[in-house]
Parts: sequence; structure tokens; C-alpha cells
Amino acid sequence: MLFNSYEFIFLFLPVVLVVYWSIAVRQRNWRLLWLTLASYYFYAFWNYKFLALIIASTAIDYWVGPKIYAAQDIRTRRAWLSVSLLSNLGGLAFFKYYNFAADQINGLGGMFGLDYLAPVLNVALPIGISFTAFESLSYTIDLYRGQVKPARDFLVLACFVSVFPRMIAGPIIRYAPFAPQLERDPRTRAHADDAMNGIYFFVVGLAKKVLVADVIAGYINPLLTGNAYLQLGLLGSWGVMLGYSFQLLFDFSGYSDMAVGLGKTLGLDLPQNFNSPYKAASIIDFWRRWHMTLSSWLRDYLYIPLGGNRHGEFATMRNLMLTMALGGLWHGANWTFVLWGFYHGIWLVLNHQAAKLRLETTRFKFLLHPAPTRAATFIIVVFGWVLFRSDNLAMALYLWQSMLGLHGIDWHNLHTLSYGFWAMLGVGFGLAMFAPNTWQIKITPKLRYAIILGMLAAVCVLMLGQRSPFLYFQF
Amino acid sequence: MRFVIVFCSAALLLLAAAAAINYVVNPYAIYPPRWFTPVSVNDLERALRELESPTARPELVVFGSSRSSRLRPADLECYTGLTSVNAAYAGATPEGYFALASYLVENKPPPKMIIVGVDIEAFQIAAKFGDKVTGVPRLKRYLQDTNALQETWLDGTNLVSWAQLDDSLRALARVFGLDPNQTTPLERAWKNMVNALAPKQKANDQTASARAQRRQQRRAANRAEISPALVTEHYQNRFNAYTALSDEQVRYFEALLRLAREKNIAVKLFVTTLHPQLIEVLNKQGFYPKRFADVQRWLTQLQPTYEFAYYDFSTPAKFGGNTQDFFNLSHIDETNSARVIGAMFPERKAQCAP
Repeated sequence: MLFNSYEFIFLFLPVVLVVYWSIAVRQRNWRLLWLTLASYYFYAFWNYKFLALIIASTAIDYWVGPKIYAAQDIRTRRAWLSVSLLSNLGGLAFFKYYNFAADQINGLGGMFGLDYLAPVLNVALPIGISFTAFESLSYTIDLYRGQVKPARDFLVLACFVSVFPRMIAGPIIRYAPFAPQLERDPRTRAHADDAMNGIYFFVVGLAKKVLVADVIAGYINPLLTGNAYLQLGLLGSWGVMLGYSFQLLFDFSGYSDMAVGLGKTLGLDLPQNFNSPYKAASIIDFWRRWHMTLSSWLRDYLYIPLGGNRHGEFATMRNLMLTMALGGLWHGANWTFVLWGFYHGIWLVLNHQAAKLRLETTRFKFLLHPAPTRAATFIIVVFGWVLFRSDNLAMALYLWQSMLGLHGIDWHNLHTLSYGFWAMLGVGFGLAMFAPNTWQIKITPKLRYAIILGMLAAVCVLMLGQRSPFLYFQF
Repeated sequence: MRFVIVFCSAALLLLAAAAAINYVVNPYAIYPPRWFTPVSVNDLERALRELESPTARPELVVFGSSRSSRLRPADLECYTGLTSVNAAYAGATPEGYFALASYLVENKPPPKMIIVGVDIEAFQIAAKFGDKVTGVPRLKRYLQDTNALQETWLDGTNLVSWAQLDDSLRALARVFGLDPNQTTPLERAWKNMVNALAPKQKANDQTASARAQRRQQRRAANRAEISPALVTEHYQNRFNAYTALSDEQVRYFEALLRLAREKNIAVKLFVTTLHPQLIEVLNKQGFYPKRFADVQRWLTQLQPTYEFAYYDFSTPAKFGGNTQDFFNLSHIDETNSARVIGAMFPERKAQCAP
């Protein structure tokens, strides 16, 4: 089920909220059970078969959790943790990466005349698996580190893993700050504000998705499908890639806002996932603002365990590159994603090195002015999105060449993309670069806000007929 | 609480206004009011309109996808002597043929014959099922998988869709003498600006080579979206992971045959043609030959039960066609289409052959 669907907005959500606040909220177990069942239904609506996978991995984590926590020696603790790692990463590896690995093996075998060494399976990728796997791992790894206590009962863990607002595409939540919210009676907090903020976040997120991201997508998708990119020159490639940059931002941050809004309507706080990333003044800054919950997850559960910056400069750079490459691979089973990770890894390393030059004390300090640093960061990010969006390396190379003007100036694409697209590009640019983000705007319970949000919601609902899935669903 | 109530009221009020406009204008002819001329929406809707036109009394109807759309009614009438309508539409799949045929026999005298262009990929298991048909409210009830509740839900959500509201507003604009397709001043300004920016073609360059070059450029531009590379990739995607025939599509195809048998309608099926160049690529990919064999085997099994005529026109050589007479790698043009008809009705070939 998509948040941007009639079924969700007019059926699922009202039923869940009415039952939750009128009946289930009175008793902890009923509340958690209702939320878990609703979340399972939400997931099963897409494919009920994969529900078993979620329940099984939750059951395994519930079973090994107390064993990890209670183990006296490090070896036993590691052994139990590896069960959880195997269960969560095993599912991810099989569904997301098996066919990719098989393709590589077969390709390699083909070079030596060996055909089909590994069979390619016709399996669908369970949506949200990358997110739920990371969230479950945060529970068992934190148990291993002694930072949290095992879940009080199965319900609380099942609800943590499955709670529907963030189940499909984040924000990635952690057990430690989230579980107490599930235990707490939501009536004890000022839920009038929650309702208002919930509506605000959900409607603004929906508007970002259907009024900006989807509209831009309508213009650029035909030029990025199949071999159509071959007709792009300097203007078209920049237009399309800038369009994609804004589509991705508004699509994903729109989803995150909707998730936060839905969380608030249930009395749950979800973490911020985007903080105007295109306003970043450096690549380091960009990663503090883009998909913040993934960045912090990778930092805490990958970069720091690898050694972080504790073992010298070379090791720090290696750890950074490795973390970013694996972060890239997390997004999808394709070399383009790995290279995208490397690309950002390289820029992060350069950024760290540049910081050591202390330009602010030299005559080049004008380079640190917000305008050039923001512009340079944005251009680097847009070049990176080429890898992220391309189906293969040939496409990425071609788009890069076009963006550098090596395929000429394609005046005709000013027409092909139409004035509506360039206007939308302007809107996207203005919103991303100059407007405050959803978290920075504080609304008050004034009626005019209610009317504006109500009308905005109605316009979004009218546009639902052309609904499209969120880009991050594929990850 | 007041905030929530005002929010919901504002949203519902605006949606109710949109629903009211859609209901009254009724651009797709789904609700009782008929005060405005319905607008044409998609290919399937156009095919349906042809069938339901008050003057249409088709004795022969062609069902199929765009690959069958170039079978000209005039050619069919010459070969068969039957009043013909080609109801093929882009991206058609069996549930679409079934819905159209069901609508036809329910609202008009049953035709004497139907010709179905069978695309092998129409049974693709991964294809979206029923999307096009459910988008045409008058047809969706023929899909056995939708119940009354679903229909009401679809009608309701249709009432608050921007697509329908846009068409309602266009219909209203026409009533007031406005041209809804007229370019806006902003659009005109944009075009003027682009034209001013774009380097101009040398108008006085009238040498034969310059003319030929311009002609080639125009042709390339016209064919850009259907270049062999694009068609090949598109079809590779269509056949990708096509591991088995879809149960749903098979069921609806059989339902069509059953309907024809009940109404005594003669049926001719032909496998639609692909260019040998495309077939070669698809053969390498591997899914096409296997599914082609599946479709052939399945149709052969059905033949004794439903007594249809079956023709394998998967390559031009099989109906005396020509590899030059293709619109693109996946679509035969009118000349080859006429040959397809000739191969199905050889007895009239002498009088009607192009």
C-alpha cells in the first residue's frame, strides 16, 4: 500500500487511527497488537508472502536478544549475534544481491567458456527489507554492546520492526530511543499538537511527492528510459539530471515527512531524515543532511567498528571509502551504486584533507564563502546522481560526457522538455535552495493553517490518480 | 480538535466541488447526466467508442494490440464482404479483448467473425493486469475479478481524480467557445525565446546535399522514438523474466473464445509479426522462443474445443510478407497487414491483393 493512494488515505489510515485512539490506546498490549496487526496488513497488502519473512526474522531476533544480553563471555555473545546477523543480512543478501552475484559469476564464467554457473532466480525483492534489516540489526548490535535491554515481550519488538509509517523506506529508527515510545501511553503527551503536526508533516510530504517530484518525473523519465538518454546534449543532460536531483529529494524527503506525520498521529516521534541537503556547504555537510538516519547508522554500526578515525590517516580514509561503498551497495545490487558510494567516499576524503589546509587563515578564504561552497557541493552531488540514476556504466559515462558538453548543445531539448519542465526546475531549485524545510517551519493551531493544509491536501488527493511508487521503495 | 475539523472540512469541501463538476460534466460518460460531449481518453476508450457508435454494426471485429492495428477495415471488407471495425489498441492484453467483446455482444448484434492478433508477450506473467480496462469505467465490470464494491470504489475515486477534472474543465471550456488546446501566452513566450536562442538553419542553403541532410534529420527526428535500438530494448524488457504464461491472461483469453462459441462467432487467431532482426535478438535472450512454444502448444490444445482457425504469422515469410514493409521492428505496416489478411482469406486474394 502506498501512502499516496486512495486506499491508504480514505480507508486504511482512518480505520487505524479511529480504532487506535478510541479502543486500543487504553491498554498497552492492545495498542501494540493493533499497531502490529495494522502494520502487517499494510505490508501484506503489497505481498502477503513476504510477511512470513518479517515475522520470522523478528522471532529470531526476539529469541537471540536475551541470549546476547545474558552471555557472559565475548565469544558466546558474538556467536549469538552472528545468528541475528545471518538472519537479517542473509535475507537481504539472498533477495537483494543473489542475482547480482550470479550475474557476475556467470559473466566471469562466460569469459572462460563456462555457461550458467549460477542459476538466475526469478525472485522479487521484498520492499523495505533493507530498512527493516538495518533496524533489526540496531537492536541486536546494541544488545551486544550492552546499550539496551532485551525487548520486554514479542509485541514490542514486532511493533518496532514493523510499525507502518517507516516500514517501507525509513527513516531508519533505533530500538533504544523508539521502544520507550511504544511502551508509553500516547495519551500522556499533548496529542492535540501531535494531530496538528501530524497533519502538517503528512500533507507537506504528500505535496512534495505528488506536486513536485511526480510532476518533474513525468518530464524526465521518458528521457532516461531505455536508450533515450542518447539524444541528450549539454542542455538536456543538465536539465534531466537537475530534474532528477530535485525529484529524488522531494520524493524521498516527502516520504520521510509523511512517515514523521503519520508517526505523530499515532503519538510516536520519528527522527528527522533530511535537513535541506542541497544547502550543504561541503560533502561532509551534505551527508549530515541527506538521509541522516542512514548516515548515522553507517557511522555507528560500520565506520566506527571498522576503526573509524582512530588508527591513523590511511586507515581513516580506507574506512571512509569502505563505508561509503557498502552504503552505495545497500541502495541497490548494481555496480553503479557501488561506484556512487566510492565517488562520495573520494569526495569525503578530499573534503577531510581540504579541511586540514585551514583555508580560512589564508588569502584563499574567499573560497569558503557560502555561495561558492554550496554551488560546488551541489554540482558534485548532481554529478554523483548520474551514477545513482544510470542503469549501467555506459549510460553514466554518456551522461557525464553530455554534461561536459562533449555531445554538443541540444537546443531541441529545450522544446522536448517543454517550458513546464523548466518552470518546475525553477520551483524545485527555489524550494531546495532557499525555502525553509519542513522541520524548520513551525505552525501554530490557527484556522488559516488548517484551511491552507486542507486545500493542499485536496489538491494532492486529486493528483493521486497519477500516483507512482516512491523512488526509495526499490532500495 | 478544531484544527482537525477545519482541516478535514476544507479538504472535503474542495474535493466535493471537484466531484460535483466531474459528475455533472461527466467527461467519460460514466454517470447519469449527459449534458456535455464526452472526451476521448486513451486507445482502449477510442476502440470502445468505435464499437459503440450508433452507426456501427460490425460484422467483423479485429482485436489485438497496436501490432494488429494496421489491418485496415477496407481491406477486411474487400476480402470478407463483412462490415469491419478494427478495435485493436496499444498495449492490449486478453482481458481487454474480452471486455470489448463482452461489451459488444451485450449492446449490439454479435458479429459474425472476430480476428484476434495474438502477441506472445500479451501473456507476460509480470505484466500489469487489468490496468487499462479498469481505467475505462464502462468496461471494468467485465473483469470477473472486480466486484460491485470495487466498482463503486473505483467510480468514487474517479470522481476525485485530477485527470477527470482536467477533462471536465476542457469540456466546459469548449462549451464556452474556448479552445482548451490553445497555447498559453507563457508557452508562446517560451517558444519564441527558444527559437531566438537556437541557432537557425541556413534558409538559403538549397544545395541538394543540404536538402538531403535536412530531410535525413527530419526523418531521424520523426523516427527517434521508434529507432531499432529502442524497439529492441523495449521488447527485451517486455520479454525479460517472462518465465511462464500468466494464468489470468490465459483465463481471459479462453473466456473470449468461450463467448465466441456461445454466440456462434467464427474466430481467426494469428500470431502477430515481429521483424526477423528483432526475433534474432529475442531468441538470444531466450524467453521469446520458449513462450512462443508455450502459446502454440496451448492454442493447439484449445483448437478442438473452440474450433478456431489458427495462423502462425510470427515472421513475414510465413504470410508472404516483406521485411521492408515494417513501420518499425515490432510493427508491420499497412502493406504487410494487407498480406496478413490475404493469407487468412486466400480465396479473395485475386480481387483484393494490393
